[in-house]
Amino acid sequence: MKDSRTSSSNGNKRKPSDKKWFTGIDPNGVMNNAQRILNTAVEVLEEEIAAGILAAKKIEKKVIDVDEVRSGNAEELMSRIRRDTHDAVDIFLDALSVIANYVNGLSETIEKTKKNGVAKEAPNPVSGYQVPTVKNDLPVKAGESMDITIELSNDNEKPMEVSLRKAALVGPDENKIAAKNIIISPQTFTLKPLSKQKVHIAVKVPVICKPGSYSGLFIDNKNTRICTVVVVDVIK
Amino acid sequence: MQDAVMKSMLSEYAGYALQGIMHIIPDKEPKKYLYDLIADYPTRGGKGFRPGLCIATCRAFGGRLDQALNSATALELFHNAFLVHDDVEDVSYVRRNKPTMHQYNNMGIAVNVGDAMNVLSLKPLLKNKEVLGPALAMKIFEEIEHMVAETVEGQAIELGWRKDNVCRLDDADYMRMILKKTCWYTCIHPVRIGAMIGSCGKVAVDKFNRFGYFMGTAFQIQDDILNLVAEENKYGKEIGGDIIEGKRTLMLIHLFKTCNKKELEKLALFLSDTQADGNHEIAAWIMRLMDKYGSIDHCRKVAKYMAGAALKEFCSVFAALPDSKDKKFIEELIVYMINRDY
Repeated sequence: MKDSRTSSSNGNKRKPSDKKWFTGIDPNGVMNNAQRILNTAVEVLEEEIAAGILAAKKIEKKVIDVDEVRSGNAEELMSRIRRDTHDAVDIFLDALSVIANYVNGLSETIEKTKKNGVAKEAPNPVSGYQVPTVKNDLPVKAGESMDITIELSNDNEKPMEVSLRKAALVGPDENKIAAKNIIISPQTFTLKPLSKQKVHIAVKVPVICKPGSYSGLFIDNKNTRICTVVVVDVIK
Repeated sequence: MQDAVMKSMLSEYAGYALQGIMHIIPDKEPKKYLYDLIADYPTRGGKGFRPGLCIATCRAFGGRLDQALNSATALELFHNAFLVHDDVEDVSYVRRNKPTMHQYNNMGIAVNVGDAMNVLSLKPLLKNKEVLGPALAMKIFEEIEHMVAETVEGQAIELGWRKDNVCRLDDADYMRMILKKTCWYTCIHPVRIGAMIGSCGKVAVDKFNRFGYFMGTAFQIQDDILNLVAEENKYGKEIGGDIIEGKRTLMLIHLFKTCNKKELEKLALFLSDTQADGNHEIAAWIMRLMDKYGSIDHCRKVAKYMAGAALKEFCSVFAALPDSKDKKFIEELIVYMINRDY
């Protein structure tokens, strides 16, 4: 092997013993390039996992025996569906949580305000806190744009760095509104102690977008508790 | 760990899987155009990455070789079935320094042998029930179902790009295709399945997704690079074959974005019919163009970034395990994948 590496007894700390591995990389540009490429890669993985969960849920819906549900033997079936749904949320949250370093000691809340959008709260059965959902008040037509405004508040006495990660919105038949069609403003900012900050989410719906409900999870890069599900209803 | 040691370990893991494969090939007719051909690709000497990752992860988590053997066998046989079909789909001529199956037989026979290999891969998975119990065996079966579905979807994406002669692609498109076509079955699922077996189903295996994804992407990019720059006898396939086949590699996607308009038009024209006469000269021109615009260097860097990210993930998800030969093997394999010349 061209690059031998050392490891500590617990295997946790390692440093390259051979710099040859990095030969040819411009040190000034490497971090930016690497960060950009890895961010792209992680976004792709997240989108695919989310799409897989949605596809699984659709299949689950298809295999529900309606007659059995109506006949009164529904409890076992419903238990199974509840369990599977929780599993799906587990998978989703786990995939998201590994992208961020969990910041302890901060208790933040996310609030939503209504501009063109209306806020709804949805219980999160896994983590014990609520992942809020923001949804456009009126459905938007394919080819048009819409805005949703959320408000973040920092209830702590320490400043809070926020860097929101946007995600593609996944809709019917795995159709997507790509992340590039979404603008978050501001996307990165510092929230002073005991202050609030409005964040605008502008979504341009592609002309070829199929009607239906599109959703995606927007999350802070460092603190997974700062997150919201954005739902956009698209009509013809 | 020396290169020779790594190769020896890979060879050992591959040998276990090959034994498993030979054990499940039926000793009955029709042999000439079916069962005798099933052992062809596996016995040409695969790299052993997939069974290696599965067995090593299982043992790193405290499991035993015999517990992982059925799953490692299934992974390797599925892999070889994909190769037989891929060679038909890509119209490839050489595989591991020998003619591809459809070249020395015909397409119909190759497709049928690939089908049989897929079906036979289910056998060791069913045997898992006896070794691991029905619950864990079913979980592994579900892993394999997902693995195969993702792989064929990834292949469909790439074949579609070629059919529609898509020339406007970006890094994210490539990474999505590679995630589906390569990463799930080469790295993510072998590690997930190994961890499931080694921990008796107690480990939450989703935490290995990013590790396997970064590792698999580094592996695939290196494979694409080798297709252009390797020594043919070591690499085992025709050099430049990906260009002739019109494969949308990261190098080609980089070239799409960096070359000038006139060059892009010529490139698109070539890709619209890569099997036409005289295209070997144009393929050579494309390789020179990739050199001119730094496409290969760019991809080498991306492969290194991905390997670096995989190492970081390794430190995170394997840190709690006690040091062992198998754990060390997994770590070393990351760098080995992007330094290999075959």
